[in-house]
Amino acid sequence: MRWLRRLWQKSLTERCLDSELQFHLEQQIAEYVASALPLAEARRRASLEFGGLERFKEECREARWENHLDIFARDFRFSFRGLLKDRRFAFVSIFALALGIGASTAIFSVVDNALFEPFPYKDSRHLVVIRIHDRDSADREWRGAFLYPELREYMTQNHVFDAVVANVEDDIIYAAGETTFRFGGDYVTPGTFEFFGVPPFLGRALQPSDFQPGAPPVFVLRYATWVSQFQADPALIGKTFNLNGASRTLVGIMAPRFAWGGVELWLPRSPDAVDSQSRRPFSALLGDGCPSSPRRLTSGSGSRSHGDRPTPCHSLSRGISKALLY
Amino acid sequence: MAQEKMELLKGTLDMLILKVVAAGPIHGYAISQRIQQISRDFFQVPQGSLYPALHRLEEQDWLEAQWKDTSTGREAKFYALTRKGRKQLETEVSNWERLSDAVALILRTAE
Repeated sequence: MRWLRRLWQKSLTERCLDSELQFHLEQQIAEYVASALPLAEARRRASLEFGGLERFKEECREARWENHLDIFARDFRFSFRGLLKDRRFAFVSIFALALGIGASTAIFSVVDNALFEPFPYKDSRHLVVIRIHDRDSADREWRGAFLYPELREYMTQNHVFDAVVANVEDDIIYAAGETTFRFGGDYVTPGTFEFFGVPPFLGRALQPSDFQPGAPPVFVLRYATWVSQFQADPALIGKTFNLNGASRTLVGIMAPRFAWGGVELWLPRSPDAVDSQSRRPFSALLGDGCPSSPRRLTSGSGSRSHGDRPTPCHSLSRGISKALLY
Repeated sequence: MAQEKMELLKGTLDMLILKVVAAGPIHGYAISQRIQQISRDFFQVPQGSLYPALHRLEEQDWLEAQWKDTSTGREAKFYALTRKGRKQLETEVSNWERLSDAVALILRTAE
């Protein structure tokens, strides 16, 4: 700890160095005097031999560790004074640095999200959304949302894709005592979380039993919502929430980047449980398809798709591999 | 100063200082005098090399310093060898001997 003490007692160290060198000089003078030189001449010659005292002192200081700290502090003060002296230069350099750092960060996060890891989902390059339009109609309109009977046909008659999942977006009113909050929620079909293959951050994702008739009502929460609205409280898992007037148990927090549908919570809904009269359309997402020889989606598939333009699978998946269905 | 003096070879000064200090606590001025004397004025140690070297050796814990009165009553900084310094001196001396033996061997035989 000697260096620490020396750091605090810098002036003491300086004085010691001074008197050490001074002692040497005096000894030299005494020696010359002893060899019968006049005092003035002895002093002159000793000083000459000694050279610049300051230079020695500097060299001695350089041997010390704390010197580097000192130099750093001086450099820092010097540059700070330089910046203060010319405010315009300071402003421009700080602005340029900020711009550079900001731009690099932005570019990197865009590249990271768009190229390296576009979506955190399993086989995300093989996910496909479909849309339909009537070829016989002069109308060029198309749609990507399906009523339940349509969806059921896609699900049951699909021969091309490994799995089909769908979601219905709905406003979820969360009543907490006197206050209510509105969240965006998605009712999802069975297998949705297995489809995306993203493990939950806390608790569990929705599982097949949650979709059984009579199963206890549950839901999972988006990570960002959990952090911003619920202070990232891990004790929330297993708590019951009043959502749209019914009690539901929170069973899991999804991984940070899981944001399927852009909503804040996900609730289970089996397509079979849907009132077939419901006019609320589903969005469907078809996953992991693309057989090696492209097949036409229309071949052998549901009657509702008659009139669809036959579209080879690979052209479907290309370019829209991650776009969600409208 | 009739005799031509020679500046110390680089790297040998540390060893000579350690060797001189090994004889007992001694201040900077006396170290330079001793080296000059023992080498019969062949080596001279400029202060500009001596004091930085002393401070460097102290920094490496090979020397430890203490302020004491000299015989004339003036206070001076006396250097003494530490245990680490003694070990270092032994290493440097044996290295030096190997080096000078090798040089001598070449000078004697390579004719």
